[in-house]
Amino acid sequence: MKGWDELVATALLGTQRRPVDTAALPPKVRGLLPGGDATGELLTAAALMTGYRRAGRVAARDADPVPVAAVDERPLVPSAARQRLAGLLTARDPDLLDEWLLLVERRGLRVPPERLPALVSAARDRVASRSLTASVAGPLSEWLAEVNPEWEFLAAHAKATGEDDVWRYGTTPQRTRWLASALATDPERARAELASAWRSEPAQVRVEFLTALGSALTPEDDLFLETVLDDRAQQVRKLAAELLQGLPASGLATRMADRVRALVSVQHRGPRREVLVVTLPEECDEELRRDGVVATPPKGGPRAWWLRQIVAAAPMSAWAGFAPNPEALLRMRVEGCDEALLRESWAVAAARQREVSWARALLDADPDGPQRAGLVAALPREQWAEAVGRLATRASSAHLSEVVVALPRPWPAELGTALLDWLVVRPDERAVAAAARVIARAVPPVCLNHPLTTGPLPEDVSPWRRQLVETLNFRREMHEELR
Amino acid sequence: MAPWSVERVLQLAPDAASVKAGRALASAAKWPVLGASADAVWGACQGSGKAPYQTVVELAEPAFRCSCPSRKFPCKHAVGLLLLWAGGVVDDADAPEWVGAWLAERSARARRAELKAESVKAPDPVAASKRAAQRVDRVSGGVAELSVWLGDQVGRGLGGLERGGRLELSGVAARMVDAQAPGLASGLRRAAQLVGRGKEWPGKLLEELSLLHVLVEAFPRLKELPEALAETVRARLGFVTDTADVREKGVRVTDRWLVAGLVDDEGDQLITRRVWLRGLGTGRAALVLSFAPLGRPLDFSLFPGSVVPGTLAFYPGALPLRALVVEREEPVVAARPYGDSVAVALGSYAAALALDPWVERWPVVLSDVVPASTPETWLLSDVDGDALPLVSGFDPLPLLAVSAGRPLTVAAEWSGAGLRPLSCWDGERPVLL
Repeated sequence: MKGWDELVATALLGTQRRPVDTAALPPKVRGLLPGGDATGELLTAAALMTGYRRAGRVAARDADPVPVAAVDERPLVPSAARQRLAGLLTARDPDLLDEWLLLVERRGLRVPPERLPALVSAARDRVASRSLTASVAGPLSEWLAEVNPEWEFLAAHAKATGEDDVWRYGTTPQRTRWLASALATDPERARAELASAWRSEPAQVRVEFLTALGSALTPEDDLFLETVLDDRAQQVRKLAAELLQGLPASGLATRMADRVRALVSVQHRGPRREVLVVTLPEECDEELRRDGVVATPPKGGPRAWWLRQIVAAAPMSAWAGFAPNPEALLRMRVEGCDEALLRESWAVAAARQREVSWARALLDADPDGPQRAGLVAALPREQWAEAVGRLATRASSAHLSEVVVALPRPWPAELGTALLDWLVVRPDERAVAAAARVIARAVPPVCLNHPLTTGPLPEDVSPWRRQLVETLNFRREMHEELR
Repeated sequence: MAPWSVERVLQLAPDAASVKAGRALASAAKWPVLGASADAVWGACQGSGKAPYQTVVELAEPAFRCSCPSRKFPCKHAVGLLLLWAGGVVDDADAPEWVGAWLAERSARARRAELKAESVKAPDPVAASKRAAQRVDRVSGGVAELSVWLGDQVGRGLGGLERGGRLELSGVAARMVDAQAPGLASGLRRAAQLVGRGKEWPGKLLEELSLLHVLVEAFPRLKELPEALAETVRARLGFVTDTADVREKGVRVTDRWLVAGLVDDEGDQLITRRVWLRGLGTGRAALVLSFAPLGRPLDFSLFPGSVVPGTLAFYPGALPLRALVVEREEPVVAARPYGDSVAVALGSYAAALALDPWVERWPVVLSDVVPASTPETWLLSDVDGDALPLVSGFDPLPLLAVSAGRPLTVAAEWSGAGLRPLSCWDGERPVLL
């Protein structure tokens, strides 16, 4: 506005150097000017123009309204749960937040929309919570992704199902998500699409796709994965070998079994005096490397290192010929290699292949042995409580904590109760405190009324015990609010 | 008294840690003694010490007392106790002796303060008028000094302030504090913040200084001005009308007051809380200010998103905006109010400026607005396509998510810098922004 700009220009330079030019001011403003000295006139004119401009402010006309999102028909979460959400968002306790979100999702409720930005930001840093967050955000996910490009991942989760265009034209996260869901709903088509697109994808994308396939692995994937062992990218080859090692009937597993049989024999040195004789591998040839064996050991001798990898990759069935059962094999003396090395490799293999009889035998032989977490997890869920119970009597708190952390949720009720009972009698140790933190968040809802939570806390109770009780109570209230 | 909502209780907590700790304590098992009456809630909580902590909350003000050593205010015990009460698990009971004693002591203290106020009020009219005359003298001195300084600045050019101007302006502001004209001081501090910021700073600085110039010009002519305008000038200079006078002589308006929102402004040592009210019957806007030193709790008796039936007394002035709550009843949840179009809201702001050219912020309630954007900024746009920008620094995402692109009602503070949304409605549910 010219009149005002004139005033500003004069004020900037000073009335001593530039005259006050009021000619361009609106006539009504000019009529109010008192005259007199230049500085007074300038300041008065500026004050009048300030009011004139502020009062005459007009609305903008060139703004583009944001797009309209689909309507979310779900009922709003109840008031108490809304207030808990506000607390959860500031508490930085991802486990509890995820549990809350899961409850809301199961009940088919709508979260208060004003909390969605905070929820989505929280999910940005926690990949595991993304699809849950997208599902809770419901029809708003795609819209939020459109409004804030930083939240594009929401669209990946929202679009993943159904739309075939996503596989052809989507971003990598969208396509990976599509693949994962198609592997569950239409596995044949998903595998066909994957195989036809495979060769033209960049290495990083191949890793993503292979990881998705890994979560839905079937024995039929052997053929495809066998070809991937010759992939251009080392990272892809390594991943394929790992996946095949989890398929006991795969070609790779069969080759590993042959190698085991070539290196191992049983010698009978009298009744009940059987010895497992092991020969260390001579070399790590091309074929062995193709099957995922790494030639250079991180430390120690290479031959023992190769053996370790072969045993860990071989199917448990490879050992069936040496003894009637795992227990018998575990009782044998070992010659030719370190017995501990062999046991550790067996444990790795049993955990990876989820071999129940082996897991049980290895845990029976030593409940506190290597890979105990993976071995317990390989047992059927209903046996967890018992296995953990035996571990609890023998192992250190630190080892038990490690197992507890590794057990996938949801936990069976018996396990939850057993662990809470265990905590009641534990002394105050740092390792117990760490386990308590996990246990408090992992026990299933039926355990939230454990006697631990109802009695009054003693005066001198340690902080971790107090927190345990508080977390259990917090979760119980959370479940009650969303019942 | 009917228990408060959990939300209202949580609003009292001084920080997130207190909310968490308070929630943890909100379990009846932890309180061997619990009770409530019409005036108070109390309980004894087993803490880490030998004797249980005794906690009382007097509900009217509210006021808190706890025997725990915490320096937070209210402490977690008070928060936990109120949460229990809000949850409806505290039964009515007769106050035990330690509760009764404290309540009695409080009311005695309040009586003494009243008596003292009365006795102070009467005291010595000669001394009082002498003090008032002294202050007018000092302010006159400050006004004269500022008048000369303003003339010098525009005479020599504001360009000279680009270097060191902030310090210079802050120095003048400090002298205005000494001259007992805090209103001039705060205008100068605002001006100091503008220097050198962005391309437009000379214009913005000129606006601020020119408005100070008008105040400076008006002061010697106070007696010639219409009475209401003279009160506005006095208030802008920093003369504060005694709250007792406001209660006694201020214009009273009884209405159902929508608590549209609150904003806390953190100063160097003081937090100023602005609570915006809107009379649902009269359409009148009101501003209730409260102050607290940093780290102390602010007045939370007016909870945004509620409607408080009651009576306000307005401070005098040409545009009576600031008010005191004289009487109020129990708040209820605010349903979505009627709002204005952007054009009407701008019109009300223009009318307000006509009465008080110094008005900085103006409360508006806009109905049927949708979030919109230009490459530079976020805006709220009404059904006519008229849009107002949001102030920079305001996080628009929660508002956006509530709207999801559909029209909604938004209560906001409007200033030259843009709209600062305070609350909006998700259907009929008030949402604080």
